[in-house]
Amino acid sequence: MGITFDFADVLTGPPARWLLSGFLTTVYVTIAGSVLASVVAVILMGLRISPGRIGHYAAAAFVEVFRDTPVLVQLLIWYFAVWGLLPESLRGFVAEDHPRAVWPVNVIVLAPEFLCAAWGLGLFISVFLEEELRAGLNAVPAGQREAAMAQGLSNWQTLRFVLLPQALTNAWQPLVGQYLNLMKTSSLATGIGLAELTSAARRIESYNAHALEAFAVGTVLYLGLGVAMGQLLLFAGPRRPGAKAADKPLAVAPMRKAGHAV
Amino acid sequence: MAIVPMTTRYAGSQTHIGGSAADDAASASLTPAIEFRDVYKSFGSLHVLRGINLAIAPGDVVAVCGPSGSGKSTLIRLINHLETVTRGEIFINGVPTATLRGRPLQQLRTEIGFVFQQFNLYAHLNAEDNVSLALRKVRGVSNEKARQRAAKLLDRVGLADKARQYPAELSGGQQQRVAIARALATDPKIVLFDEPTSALDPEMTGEVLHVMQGLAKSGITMMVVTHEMSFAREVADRVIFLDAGVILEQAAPADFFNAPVNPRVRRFLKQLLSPLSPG
Amino acid sequence: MIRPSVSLGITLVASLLASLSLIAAAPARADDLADIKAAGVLRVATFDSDPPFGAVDPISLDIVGYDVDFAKAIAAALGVKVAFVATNPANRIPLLQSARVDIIVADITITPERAQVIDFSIPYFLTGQQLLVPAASPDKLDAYANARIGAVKGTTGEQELTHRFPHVRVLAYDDIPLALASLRNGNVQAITQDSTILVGLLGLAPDKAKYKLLPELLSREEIGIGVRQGQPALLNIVNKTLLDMEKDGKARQIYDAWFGSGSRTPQPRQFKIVAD
Repeated sequence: MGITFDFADVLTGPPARWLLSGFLTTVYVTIAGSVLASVVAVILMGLRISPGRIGHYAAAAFVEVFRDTPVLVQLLIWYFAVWGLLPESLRGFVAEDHPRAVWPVNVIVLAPEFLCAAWGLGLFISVFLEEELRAGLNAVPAGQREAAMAQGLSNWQTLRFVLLPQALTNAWQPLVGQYLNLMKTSSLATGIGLAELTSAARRIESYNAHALEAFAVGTVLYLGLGVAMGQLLLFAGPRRPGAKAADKPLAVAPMRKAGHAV
Repeated sequence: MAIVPMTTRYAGSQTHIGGSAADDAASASLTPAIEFRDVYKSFGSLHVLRGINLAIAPGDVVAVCGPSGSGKSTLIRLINHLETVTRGEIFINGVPTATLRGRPLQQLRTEIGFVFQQFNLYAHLNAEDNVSLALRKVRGVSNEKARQRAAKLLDRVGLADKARQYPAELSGGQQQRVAIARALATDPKIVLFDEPTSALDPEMTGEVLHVMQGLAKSGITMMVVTHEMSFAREVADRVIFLDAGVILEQAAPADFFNAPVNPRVRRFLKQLLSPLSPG
Repeated sequence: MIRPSVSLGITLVASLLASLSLIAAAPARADDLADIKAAGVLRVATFDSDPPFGAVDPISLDIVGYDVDFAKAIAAALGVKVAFVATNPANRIPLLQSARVDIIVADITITPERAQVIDFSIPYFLTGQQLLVPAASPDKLDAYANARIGAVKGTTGEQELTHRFPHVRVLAYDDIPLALASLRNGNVQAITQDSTILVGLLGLAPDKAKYKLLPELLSREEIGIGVRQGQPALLNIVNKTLLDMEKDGKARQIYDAWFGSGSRTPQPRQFKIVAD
């Protein structure tokens, strides 16, 4: 009465097609969501550190809303509530056949499920990206900003050429973690009908009852995707400059001697 | 080098004005490079500078010293608006600076170099890029021209071969020299130094002071907050003593070190030169 | 006094032995019919949370429903009492195979795969997949050949749709209320499920006037009564009872009670119980 594994039934025929399609859907929605999340995170950062009060509070409110509500609820709201509020012409356009909006393999990108999933995931993760980036920014020594100001760089130039690059380097590890989070969270989009990897595994389970094999393969695919993503992002990301100084903090700033006046 | 005569405005202290009479006559009509008029600065209820009146002629090299908490750093940070005055006016080349914002303020800052105690080099850029950043972004100089200028300046401070190195790979003295090169990038006529050698190991102070000495000879107006009395004695044209937000004494180094008038200054110098003798 | 840990151990071992014996005791019984009559009770596997087939009545707390009524009629024909064992779709067949029940009357669809392990009576209910669409949408099934249609995860709905319409796009949701929300939103142009479930869903929807059920069924599903294989006597008497009930109108009566126009899930009776 042992447990027998039958992977053949999961890796051939329709189940294999569903797995491939689902896996690629996960990849595409992760990419789309990550791009959106990055853009929104930068905008949020800009608002947060701008001198204007309104922008500051708007960004803070945005962060609270998306950080304190469950992402599944957010996805359900986008798909089952907000989508219905869009103008009929837009919804009709999306519902039509768009052969060019089909990515390999048979993944329809211009569909409410995909759009709402990418949108919802993107907004959700954007606030975490922004918080990590802000933490990275706060870790940049104040002297960097002073030096830039003293040289005549504007606020924006200081941010762009001096502070953000260092913030990014400080925050890169946690930022990569957040992009991986987006990839994992994409499995919740099965609740709004997106035919991604988790839903493919479930479909196989109800098709031929090979639950263990289906979910095992799904897990391996998620794991592989995560490892690949992590390595790629770390490789492509900013490194701490000065190979010899790998263990030193980013800005070499000796401690202010006690008692020196302001 | 001449000094514009000053009047005593506050009770309980004296100013000692030095310099030759002939020099006074020759340059009495020169607009001061930097001028403080009745400047007060407080942080909340903490009064850091009280009624500062000061004029520095173009090309002057002024050393500012005094005990901790006297407001020395604040004094020079007011000049390029790293801090803002609470009351009073600061003039750069005769132009009031209090109301400058945005572009004009950025312009002003490119004309004043600033060297920090902690170097504050841009950690993510190599030496060359550190020096050329402001040139490229604020002055709009082309990348190639900026690079050439940076190379020249790094050569001037004796670090031509370190152009591609990152701050983390340089010693403290080297970093500070790059910082000086960076401050000179936009060809400022005024360079301010906020305790430039205080964070350095003693062996490295020399290399930085040499660079500053070279600078002094080139005609740049320099204002240096420092504890390095050797620099004050040998390079400065004038030494200013600040205590509790007030200028207690101003004199040429010879007068300042050999015959200080103010008793507080005398005590300070004694402490400085023989710290272990009883008070 | 036995120490708690010891008595727990004894309980565990006893249960283990009991379940092992159950598995071992899946024998071909000589004659179920005789055994039932001897025991004086017919044990029936049925649903207890699947109205209107089998559900707990909130007032009497008994299990009631279409299946329940048929089971009671069969027990009466055998001259025995009836005892219900609540089950779910995954458990039905194992319960029968392990002789914990004598028959399955639990909305079980007759399929070739299942017929390999148990025997079915003649069908006593007909259902099938239907489409629920907005009131203004086309009536003909073929109009939806290329549409986006919502289904429920884990049902045969997805597969049935693609058999009939290879180019249809199926969106799978976690449950039927979400699928309906999707229809409301315009995310899909139709939703599909077992006709009974759709009728029930529509009956409860506040905006039911905006939707309609397409009469044409996508698939036919015959519901039968399950008995263990190799029991011709029992099977014959079940079939005979069903035919008699059709003849004397009892079957129709039961149907009207649960699916008639006055019920919560009205749908016209599109079948008759007939011999194979």
